[in-house]
Amino acid sequence: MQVVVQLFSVLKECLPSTARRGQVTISLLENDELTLEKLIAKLGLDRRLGVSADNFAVLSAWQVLVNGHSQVDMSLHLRDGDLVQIFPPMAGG
Amino acid sequence: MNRIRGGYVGRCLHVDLSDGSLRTERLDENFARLYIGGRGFTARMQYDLIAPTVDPLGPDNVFIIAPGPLTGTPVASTSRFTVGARSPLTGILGDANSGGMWGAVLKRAGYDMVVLRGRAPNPVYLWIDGDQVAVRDARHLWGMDTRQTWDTLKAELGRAVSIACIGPAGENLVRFSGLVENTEHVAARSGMGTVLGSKNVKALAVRGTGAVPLTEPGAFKELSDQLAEILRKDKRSSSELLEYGTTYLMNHHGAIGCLNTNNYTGGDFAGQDDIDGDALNESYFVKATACYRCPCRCDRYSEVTEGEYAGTKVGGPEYATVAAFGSGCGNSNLASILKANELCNLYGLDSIETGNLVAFSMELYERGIITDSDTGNLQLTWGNHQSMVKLVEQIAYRQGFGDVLADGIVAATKKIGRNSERYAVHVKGMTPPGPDARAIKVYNFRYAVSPRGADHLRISAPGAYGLDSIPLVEAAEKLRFWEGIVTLPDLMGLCKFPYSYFAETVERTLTKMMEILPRLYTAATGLQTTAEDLLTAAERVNNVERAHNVRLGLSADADTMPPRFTEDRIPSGPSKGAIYDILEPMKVAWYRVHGWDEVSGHPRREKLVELGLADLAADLEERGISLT
Repeated sequence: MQVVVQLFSVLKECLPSTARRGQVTISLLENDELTLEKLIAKLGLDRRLGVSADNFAVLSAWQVLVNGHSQVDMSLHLRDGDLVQIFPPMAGG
Repeated sequence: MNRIRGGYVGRCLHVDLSDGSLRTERLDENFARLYIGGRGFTARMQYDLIAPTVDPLGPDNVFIIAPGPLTGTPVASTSRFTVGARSPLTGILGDANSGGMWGAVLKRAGYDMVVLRGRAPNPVYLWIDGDQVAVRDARHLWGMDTRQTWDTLKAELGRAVSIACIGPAGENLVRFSGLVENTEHVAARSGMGTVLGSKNVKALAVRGTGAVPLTEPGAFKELSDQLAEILRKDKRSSSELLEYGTTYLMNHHGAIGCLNTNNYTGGDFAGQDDIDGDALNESYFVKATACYRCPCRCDRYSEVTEGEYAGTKVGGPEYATVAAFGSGCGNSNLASILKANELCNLYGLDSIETGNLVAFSMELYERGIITDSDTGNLQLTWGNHQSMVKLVEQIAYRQGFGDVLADGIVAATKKIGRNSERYAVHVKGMTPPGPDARAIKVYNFRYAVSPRGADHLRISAPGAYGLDSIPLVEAAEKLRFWEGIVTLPDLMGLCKFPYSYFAETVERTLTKMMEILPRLYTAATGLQTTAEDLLTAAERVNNVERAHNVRLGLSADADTMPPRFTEDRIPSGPSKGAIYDILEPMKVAWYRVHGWDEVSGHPRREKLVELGLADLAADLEERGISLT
């Protein structure tokens, strides 16, 4: 199972060194379960912004999109091929 | 009794260009309280001084310049000023905003507002040297580009002078010309430079050495330090802007699939990596520069040193310019984008409008709607950057096919005919700045309702990319609240970026805007206020602007989206299949949360009265415009 993660703005600091242009592919074993909460904790995004991973989107107001759709429920189970994008609260433009 | 003791400097300068007469008036305290400054002043003055029948390029149009009460004060990012006049591009409310140094120097010269009326018989420039003001002969400057004008006036007037001027495009009455400061900062949108050109005003030169007075300097300093600490600690304001300026947005919009591509036919651009912020930093970026007292330094300065565009030196680019001349034109040659940007700054053109018009022409050419016989053998194929650069020059000097485009996109469709309007991406005659509305629908509804056309600067909100996922009325209410927040910097003379946009958390933004800003205003001016008072002032200004256009005959049917967004689906990329299908329900929701009539879109009488605008309600009704 693979999930593609794109992080923007200061959260790019949390990406592993294998990331290219703000994007990294996270690979998991077939039977592993990955929720948004676990992904956020795995990358340390919760610690970077000082909010808990289980309510990350609401508490941080960062925009969490899964396959282009906004998500506030961090218990969402990610599926193979999902694209997770996390944008800053207010982007301008 | 006037209780203003600072922030405002207390004087408004009125200039009649027809006879060169000058007078100075005291700033009215009640006017200041109601409209705060900047865009608030230009909005209300446009309503009061510009009758509905006034020709935007005629002598009766009035050009209003307004910094804000915090412009030029010793706190972060206090550079901004607004210029307003009836727009020659759209025929409705017009204004544009700029940073740089000029606005702060005008305040330090002792003026809260400058009003230009009439038309000078010959080219002139306005010379404000503190209390000494003169309308001077500018025949020797006419025809110069903005850099030559800057250099010439600097040599004549001395070093401590700030100069804003028009270029050849403004002189030639190209209807999307801007006012340019130091060839870098442009009050670009809606043709404000064109209005100056029509008045024979080449430049506005200012020397101001005074300090803007503060009522409570100690309290002001304390608040300024608090703000500086927030900006310093927050990496979005302290380092992201420094590293990328606004060019970071290309990656956002590419990732979502809303990047203007080939005149908004697509939402993702194959050449994005060649023109984004990283590409700029790796190739042509030289240094970051700053506006007056700004710690963020988002301005770019770039140079091209080799290849066919060698010698290009430009204050820029901004993201919207790269989108317009880059992905919008199917062009991945970054050096050519910088060249087009440089030419826009030198000629005094709005780079967004100009780039979008080139892209529009390319689509018509590719579709065979226009041919070499229309373009004078300019081959306007996608990505043909040589033709693109040439067309920028032709627009500025109204040569060849450029003259067809020089009156704006609506006029161009009328000149060309052949169903070209189907491919014209605009609202109310002004083209959008980059994001494709089909991919982020609720957020980009702002294009439909902005009073000056397809505008990105009046409405923004946290979580903007996710607004399509929540109920429409809830989303509309969120946008309405944040419309107020992002209006406040325009009124105060502040930059939106450090104050209302760039923070790692919304909490920090709200601390800046709701807690620190009202106290800064009070410490500067001596006028007691609250965050709620300021948000009411913002709502008042937005309603004055709405009423202005209603008086000109605009109703709900003018709040629209182009057929490109409502009839064509995004063909590929992350937002493949998206179409703008929320226009009508969003309009109803928007009007409802604003207290406007849900059918006509006019502000309700009750809403205008509540905001202290009973006189506007009476004026509209006297003119036979029904208010519910």
